[in-house]
Amino acid sequence: MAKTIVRLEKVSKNYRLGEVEVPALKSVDLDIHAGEFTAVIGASGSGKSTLLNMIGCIDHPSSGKVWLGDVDVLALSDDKMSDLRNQRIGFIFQSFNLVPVLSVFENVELPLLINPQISASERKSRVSEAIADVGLEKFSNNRPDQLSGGQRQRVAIARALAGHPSLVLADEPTANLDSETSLKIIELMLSLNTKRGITFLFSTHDERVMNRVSRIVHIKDGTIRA
Amino acid sequence: MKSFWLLSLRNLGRNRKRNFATGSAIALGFAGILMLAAYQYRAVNYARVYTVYVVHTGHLAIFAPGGLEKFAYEPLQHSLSADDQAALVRVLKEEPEVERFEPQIRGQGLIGNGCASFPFIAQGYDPAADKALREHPQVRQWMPHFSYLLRGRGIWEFEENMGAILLSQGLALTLGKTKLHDEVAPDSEIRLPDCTQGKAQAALDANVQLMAGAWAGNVSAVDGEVVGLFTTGFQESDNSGIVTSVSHLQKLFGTDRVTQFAVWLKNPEKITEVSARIEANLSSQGKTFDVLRWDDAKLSPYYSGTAGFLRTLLIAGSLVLATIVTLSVLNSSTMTILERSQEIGMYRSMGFRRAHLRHLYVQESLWLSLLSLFTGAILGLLAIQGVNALKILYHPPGVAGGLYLFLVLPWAPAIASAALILLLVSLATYFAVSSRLRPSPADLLGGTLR
Repeated sequence: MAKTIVRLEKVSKNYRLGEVEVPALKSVDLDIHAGEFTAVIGASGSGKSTLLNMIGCIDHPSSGKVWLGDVDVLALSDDKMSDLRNQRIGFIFQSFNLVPVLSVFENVELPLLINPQISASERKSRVSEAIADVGLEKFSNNRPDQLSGGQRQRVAIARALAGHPSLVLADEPTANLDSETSLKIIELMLSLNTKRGITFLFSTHDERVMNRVSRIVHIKDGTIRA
Repeated sequence: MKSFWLLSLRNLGRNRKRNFATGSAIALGFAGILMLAAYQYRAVNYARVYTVYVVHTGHLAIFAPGGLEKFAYEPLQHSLSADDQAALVRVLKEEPEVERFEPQIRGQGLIGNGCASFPFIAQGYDPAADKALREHPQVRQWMPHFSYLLRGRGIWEFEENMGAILLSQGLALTLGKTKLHDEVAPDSEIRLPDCTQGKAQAALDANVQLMAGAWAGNVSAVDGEVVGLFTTGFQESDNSGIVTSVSHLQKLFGTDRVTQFAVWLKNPEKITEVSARIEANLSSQGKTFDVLRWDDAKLSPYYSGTAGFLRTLLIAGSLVLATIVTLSVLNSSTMTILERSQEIGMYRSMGFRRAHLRHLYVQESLWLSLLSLFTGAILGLLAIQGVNALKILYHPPGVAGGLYLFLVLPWAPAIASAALILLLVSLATYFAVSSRLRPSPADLLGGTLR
């Protein structure tokens, strides 16, 4: 049995809309194991994004526990939680979220700048390696506005990988891409999972990727269905 | 972190119009502060030099005990005797920091042209000191356009027993004494004027008569020879002032005493220690005097009033400008940070701590401020040069003949105000970004990892 890298125990999340409390997650239990290539699927508003936010430690649950490895995430200070995200989790955003004034190389380098354990030379080598992994070596010095949508998402993937995270999270990473490019991005993520053993967890609506993933998590009305 | 500085510098290119507007507010505000500071610095130094050198106050003024307040109505009791003067000369000559010292005598009386008499206020100076002070480097530096002598020559150019007198320009007109010693034929005699012919008769020669109550109580009078016309720079004293030698006024007041000693220092920064040393040395000779600093409000009310007013003006003006600059930056930072909420969420997701982002955005504001302050400094210097080149004559209240608007930039306050602007800008950005860092990264991203 592969090592559990994320565990959610009875995690609930309620949002307040005016006077009304709206449950987004209802007592969710979930384990994610090392090396999995997992898709979270569900209708809009089912709780996919909220689930990814909890796993990514970028939001607090209303109740329950979140474990990242053996770390009780909710017991950490904000700074420690930031460090944990920096060193263990890679994020891929739906709208890429690249810094427009930085080159591809500098965008990928960004999360490494705040990790004091990584020397400048190691940083450069990790960035070059991540850019090579996504096949953008020729575009290292380009700015995001000089790239296509698919290339931009590759940069975002490289940025997520550069920190050598134990988990990469992506919320609908292909939502802003055409179908052909979307498939290529999923293929790229899958090849990184296969070759490097990187754990991916992503939400998607795209039914074509269902037969490529090692695990599917169905979510409906804030509850995980078997 | 070096990379943060680079990133924040590059970020300036992201919203050029807004950054240009904010940068312009900073640059123009700083240029305004520089001009205000330059005006204040120049005006305060003008007042300082006028007080210390032009009206012979000195850096230190030494009076008999209570002399400053009581001399006017009890001159004999509250002036410096010959013995006091000898002690002062001994001590002051031994003090290495003293550049120059001078006994002075002051008093008032009536001055006549043979037909009519008018009140005067007299200053009796050492002619050699008067000459040296008119040509003092500080006077040349800070009052380059000020012309003390309007016509004629200084008293230092004439023998002391001649009774040479400088008349203030207003008093000369009142007396009708428009002819000076140099303009009268050397062999001409003093003629009694025909008073029915008006002031034209008074202008026939340069002779005037001074009459005053002698310090011993009797009435005394001496002749005087008008050798020049001067302006005090102030309308009130321009209608009643006369300047002559100490010996001439001593003759008029029938005394060997003087009102005070003025002392000029080589390095005015050392005034406190020199003053203490002089007092100690006088005390060792059994003499106790009142030693006053030149900027004492009792001794120099004109200087203290002017300097206080200008200081208040500078502080108030600078605060207004700094507030405008700070609010502009606060507004701009708030807008920028609101627009970049999603980006902040992205940074936070990647593990940037709140402190990292505060640094990043404060550094961005600091770059903008530094570039704008540099531009503002150039604009301010150009404006100062421009104003000086225009030689604008203006008329502050009480100043005879007006002053040239001549600005001199003091570097220390300029650097201090730049540092203050940087501090305010940093604080404004810090608070703007801090408030935006409170939500969770997910909220900043818009609820999802978008």
